[in-house]
Amino acid sequence: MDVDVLIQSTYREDVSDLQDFFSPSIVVLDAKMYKKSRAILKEKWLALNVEVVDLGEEVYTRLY
Amino acid sequence: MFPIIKILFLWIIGILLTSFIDVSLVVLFVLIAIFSCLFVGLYFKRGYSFKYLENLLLVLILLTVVQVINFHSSQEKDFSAYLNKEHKVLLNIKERYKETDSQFRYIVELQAVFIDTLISINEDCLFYQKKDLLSSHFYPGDRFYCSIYWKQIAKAKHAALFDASEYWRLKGVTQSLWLQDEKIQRLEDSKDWFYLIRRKQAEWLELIHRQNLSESTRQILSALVLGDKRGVDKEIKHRFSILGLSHTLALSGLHISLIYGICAFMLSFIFKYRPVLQSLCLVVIIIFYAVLTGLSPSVMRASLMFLLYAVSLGLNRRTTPLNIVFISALLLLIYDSNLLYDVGFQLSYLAVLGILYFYRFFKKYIENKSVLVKFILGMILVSISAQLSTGILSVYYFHSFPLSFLWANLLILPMITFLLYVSIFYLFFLVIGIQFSFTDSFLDRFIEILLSLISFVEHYSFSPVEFYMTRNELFYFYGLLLLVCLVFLEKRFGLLRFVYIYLLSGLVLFHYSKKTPTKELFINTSKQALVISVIANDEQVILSDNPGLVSYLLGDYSLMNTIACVDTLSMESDYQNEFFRVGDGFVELFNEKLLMIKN
Repeated sequence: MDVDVLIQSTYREDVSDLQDFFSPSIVVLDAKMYKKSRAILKEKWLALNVEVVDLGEEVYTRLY
Repeated sequence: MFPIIKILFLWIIGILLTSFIDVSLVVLFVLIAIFSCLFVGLYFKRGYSFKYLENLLLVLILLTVVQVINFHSSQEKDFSAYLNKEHKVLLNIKERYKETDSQFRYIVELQAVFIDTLISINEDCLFYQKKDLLSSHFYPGDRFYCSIYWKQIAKAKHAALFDASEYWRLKGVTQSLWLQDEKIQRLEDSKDWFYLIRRKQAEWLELIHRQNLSESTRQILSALVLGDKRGVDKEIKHRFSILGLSHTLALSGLHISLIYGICAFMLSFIFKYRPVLQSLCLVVIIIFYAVLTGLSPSVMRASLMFLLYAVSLGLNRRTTPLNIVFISALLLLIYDSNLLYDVGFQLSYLAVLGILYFYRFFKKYIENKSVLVKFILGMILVSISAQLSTGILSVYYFHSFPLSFLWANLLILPMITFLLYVSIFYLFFLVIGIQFSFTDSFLDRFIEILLSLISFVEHYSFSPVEFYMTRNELFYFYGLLLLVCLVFLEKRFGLLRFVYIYLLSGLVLFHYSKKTPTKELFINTSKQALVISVIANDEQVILSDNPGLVSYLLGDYSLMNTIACVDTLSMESDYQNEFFRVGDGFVELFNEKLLMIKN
């Protein structure tokens, strides 16, 4: 199942599984997670060539 | 006519240029020396007239002097080596800023940081102290060593949010310090007269709070007499704000003029034939009161104006009120250039300029009326004059305009004036240890009536008009106001064609700069809430797991996008409209899928 935007609210190890299952074009990391968790997730998603927005640092906006 | 306005104008230009000029202090001094030599050379040159060149050089000298004076405040220090770490520091409490349910906030002077040795810093910072049963708050002038966690004040995440980092930067504060534990090592308190007076404010506030008064009476009294608005209930503040009465609650020129009036009246009996001594006493009292109440920009403005007025009376050299306004503004900007960006400073000066300028055109209509009619009409016209000059700016900052300001001010202002007189005497007697049994209940009853009257006025008033104004629109509307004043009040009808051109060009510019309707997805989160907003066709759907915190995360986003209709939904909702569908953790918008993973 393909989704365009994936909002990740909790830390998960299985990032590559999420990628296989949902193939998101952009991942948005919830600020509720610890800064360290967000940093690790960001690294993992970027390694899979998926764009990441850390909501702890910035907001996500998209114009259509 | 008013020579000081030229210097003030150039000084303001100099301050605005500060952020664009990045040269060393030596270069600035060299420039001043060159301009001065050229000026002196031209001035003493006989036979030729270099009037325009001389004036230009004077302007350049003044602008460079402004850069020199503001050089240190415009240089941002690099604290990256200290950031996001715990340090032992030496602090001096300057101001108690705010008290919330969970913390005390102060403005402190960070005097030194201890890393192997004591490194001198001398920087103003925000200081946070967690509030618990064991914590006791600090007073202005307290000096102590403590452990803190050092952070930079965070920037706002998007343009529609209040930017705290910019707000504090303009006040010369960029860093925040979080107290780590209550183990502090106190040093001797500062014996500076300034801090001694500031401590008095804290002590007298506590004195008011120990009295047998209702909570709202304590809050209003603290704000009205001692300038402490921090404790005033949000609901009360909101009511005052929507009726355009905020200026009565915040210490301003109104309060200083009343204090000045009382003191001048009482001193006139003591120093009947000694005007210089009377002026000196008034100067001391006004300075004491201004420092006591925290030196807010409006209080500084009003105090300085009264001081200049008292000095001019004492020296028997009277000047026009406008000159006093301009001199006080210039002195304050020399003292602190950041005041130029302060909302309170801008509103305070615009209000007083508006009253001085517009009121003289209205005055002739009330000259031959009875005392009562004069008093009522006078109040109405002063309110209109102040709103004419400040209305546009308050819409720019607060995004709303109170339509009921006129009759609210007319009804409430006399009561606030009376309350202020009574409160000053109440505090005076409290401080010298005299209490009357009836005063507490009288004040409680009076404030109860005042709040009921405000509720009544609010009930029968229009809601404030809410709209968003950009900076370009702000300048455009003030330009228009200026042109209209020149043409219709100053009767320069030759400029009428410029009004037409200005209006026409404004219409064209606004038409072409008007944003085309956008479709936008916006996501923001904090530790407490997540908000997803979708905009299409002037409609907005907001999805949040904590709808109570939506405005905290969105700020003025809806107002900025001139949204006509907002629907706020919880995450668990099932909802569908023409561009948006939500259900089962999925959101579909404009044929795109959005998924939330919670676990």
